Amino acid sequence: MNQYTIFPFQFARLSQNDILMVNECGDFLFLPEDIFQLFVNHTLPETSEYFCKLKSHIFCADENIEIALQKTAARYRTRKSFLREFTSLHMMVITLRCNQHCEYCQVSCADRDAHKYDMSKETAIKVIDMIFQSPTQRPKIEFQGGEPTLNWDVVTASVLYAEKIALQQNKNVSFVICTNLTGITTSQLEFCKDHNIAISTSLDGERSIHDSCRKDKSGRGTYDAFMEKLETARKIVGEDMVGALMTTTAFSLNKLKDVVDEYVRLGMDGIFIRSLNPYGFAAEQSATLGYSMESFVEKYLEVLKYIIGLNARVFFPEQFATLLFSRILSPFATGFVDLQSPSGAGISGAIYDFDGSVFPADEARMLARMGDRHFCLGNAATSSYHDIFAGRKLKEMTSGACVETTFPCAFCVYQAFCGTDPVRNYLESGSEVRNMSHSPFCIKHKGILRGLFDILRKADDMTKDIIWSWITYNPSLVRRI
Amino acid sequence: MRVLKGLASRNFSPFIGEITRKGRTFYSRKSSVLLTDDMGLSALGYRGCITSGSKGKFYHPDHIYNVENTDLLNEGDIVRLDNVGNIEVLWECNSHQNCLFLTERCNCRCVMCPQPPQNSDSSVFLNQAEEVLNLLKGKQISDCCLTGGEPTLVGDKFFVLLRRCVVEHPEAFITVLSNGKLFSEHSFTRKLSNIPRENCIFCISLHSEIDMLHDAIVGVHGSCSATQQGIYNLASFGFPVEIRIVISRYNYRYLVQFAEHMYNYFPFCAHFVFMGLELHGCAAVHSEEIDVDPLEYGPYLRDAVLLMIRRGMPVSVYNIPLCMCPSDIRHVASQSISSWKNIWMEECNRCMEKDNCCGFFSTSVSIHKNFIKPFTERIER
Ligand code: SF4
Ligand code: SF4
Ligand code: SF4
Ligand code: SF4
Repeated sequence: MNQYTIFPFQFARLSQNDILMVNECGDFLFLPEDIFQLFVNHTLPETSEYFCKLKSHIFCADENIEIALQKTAARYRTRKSFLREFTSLHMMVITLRCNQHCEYCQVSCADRDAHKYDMSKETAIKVIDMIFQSPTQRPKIEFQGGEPTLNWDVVTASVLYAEKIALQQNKNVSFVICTNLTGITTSQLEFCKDHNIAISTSLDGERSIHDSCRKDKSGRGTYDAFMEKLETARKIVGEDMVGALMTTTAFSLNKLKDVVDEYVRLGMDGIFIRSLNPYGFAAEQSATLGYSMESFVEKYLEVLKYIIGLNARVFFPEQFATLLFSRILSPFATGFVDLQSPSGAGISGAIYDFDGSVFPADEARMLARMGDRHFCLGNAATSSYHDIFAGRKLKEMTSGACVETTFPCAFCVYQAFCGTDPVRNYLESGSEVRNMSHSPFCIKHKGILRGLFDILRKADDMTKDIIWSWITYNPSLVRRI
Repeated sequence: MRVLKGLASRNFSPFIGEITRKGRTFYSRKSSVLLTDDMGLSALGYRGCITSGSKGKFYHPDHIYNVENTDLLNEGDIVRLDNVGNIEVLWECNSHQNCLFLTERCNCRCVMCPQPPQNSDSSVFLNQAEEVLNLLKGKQISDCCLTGGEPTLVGDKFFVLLRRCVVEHPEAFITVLSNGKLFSEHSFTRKLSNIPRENCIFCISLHSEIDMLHDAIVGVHGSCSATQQGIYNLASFGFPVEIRIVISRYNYRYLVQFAEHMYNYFPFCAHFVFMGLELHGCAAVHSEEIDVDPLEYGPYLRDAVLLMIRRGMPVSVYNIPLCMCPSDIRHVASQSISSWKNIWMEECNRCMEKDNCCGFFSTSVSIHKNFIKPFTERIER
């Protein structure tokens, strides 16, 4: 028996002979089964190469455990440092109205003239006052809808007011507007340019894919109108300030390569292959739009390999893989509100509904639209910042929303890279905390993470360069053909 | 350090002064050393003189005569003259590698130490360093390096000198070469708190993250964890830290693993440097045991450096001639050898990359001659 100390770690038998081990702060190692047995039985010779490896990745220490603990702690702290900033993503629902009527719309397609679903200027000002009470030095304000350009005056008033407050408080505010672009005007785009507002729009793929879901009020596809406006927007605001998001539906699940090709053709700076959110409006349509999480994972990994291959020619990251690869390979914190532990709901991102109601996440707001206000944290007009962001509701929700304390996440090898979503848990099971086994959330993340580790294990120099060029956003790492 | 030799005019006690060729007005001669071809009346009033010519008269200041290569000395250089006829160049105005040497003592016993530690009294060096700083006061310098032995062993004096360097020369880049062990004590590191951090960096030698390996290299048990603890403490006080890894037979096979470890657990460090050996001192004695040829370590060094480049880590390679560096990491190799001990081989004269190459240590007892391969054209960068 050798006297080394083994530190806490998670592990899983992935393939034939290999065991994936991940330590408390997210450092990992593959170990052959027989070595693993020796190691956990304290019979691995301290002079063996494997012992050195295990020590190097801080799975054990012999004499001096102090420094090993200090390193683990430092890296753990760094990885959780997103908590220090507290809520920095603030989404404002400027209106529920929209000029389109998409098949999967989760928000609402309140009629164009249903002005009661508009956020008022007064509410917007109150919301911004609240946003600036958050300790973050870099608040990011995202204007959402519906289609926010339909209530344009409130967008401009919000931007001007937020800029003023930011100046007073010496904070660095940034803006994003989520728009379908189809109704946007030149003067609106010019305002975006003048105030450095990034545009986040939606593009599901080439014409047939895009038009199968993204329709106008009379049910016609919006591809042409979108393309025209995309060009104008890029011209006025600048290519790097216009990004697009896609949603995978049953129409595109088997054609994800075409979607990617369309993005590459348009010179987009990457793609985020997103699964359909199975709630809200989309739930009713799930028969035609939906698919199983298992098949999403399969198709996702397939298209990811296709994208990695494409990168031999052009720098084009897949953004979800970039996020997860960063978590797996780098010691730094990654901000991604939807996949965090503790959950980012409320403490990293918050959403303000048109009437000023504050919710920890978009889905919580949709739940309220369906009649269940379980997650409503208060109202920006009537509650104090303290009531909302330091109130019992958010505290209770957050303290339960940790992979470290959730079954079976607490023993899962992917724990360090995964997250939780109490709102989704509640939607699915009626409780903020649930057994995650076999939940769609787990099927998705477990499946994808497993696939990514598989890619990593087999990666040649070129693949490594590509993955690191995504993580460090450094296109020059890859020598392209 | 560059040393010139001549004959001492008499049995004087050693002194330090600043070289002048042009001459100084009479009342500003007290701290200067006149460099002259022959000792005339104009030599009066100086702290000392150096001459290539013959011995001066009894009324001349203390001097060293019959000195060859006086053209190696420049206006403003700081020199130490002794009664054996040695002229040690303590500060070269035209160099970017000036050092203040604080002690010969060390709390490590590295197998590859080029200047084996001595248990000598450090006060001579400390006074010398202070005198040099006095002479440099008010002048613009580009850099200064505090070194030894282990410079932190002189305790409070170290902090005083470091503070002087950093504060008196905000224009300069101040480096400290240390094994970092003493900084593992929080109370010791705390003494840095009144020193500005903007223009100084601690270059800490760490040869492996594996204690058995590092401790075997530096010859003192417990060094590995003390050094690493020191790095963490220095960083927590806000000081930039550079990690220096000397490549030897002991650690070359572990460089990749170490590189990954540095990314994972020392990502806050400002710079990472892989260094070739200077086969001098202890290293010369142990050359069998530690020396490893470029063909052997090359692939490991390559993988380690590429791993770091991928991760965006600032990495450099010192003391390895370009033709012995794997081709895809040549762009991080620097000219790193102090000019006074820097030499090239005959083949180098027809090499197209000589001006970018670090060359060799004149002090090394052996050189990997078989691996020299002059470039016939410039390499792509
Ligand atoms: S554009 Fe957006 S808000 Fe409008 S219908 Fe489509 S998904 Fe819904
Ligand atoms: S959700 Fe699934 S994959 Fe994620 S940590 Fe929990 S058990 Fe693991
Ligand atoms: S190499 Fe440096 S740390 Fe090692 S013994 Fe020599 S002076 Fe000390
Ligand atoms: S031939 Fe000489 S100068 Fe040229 S790279 Fe080799 S060592 Fe350097």
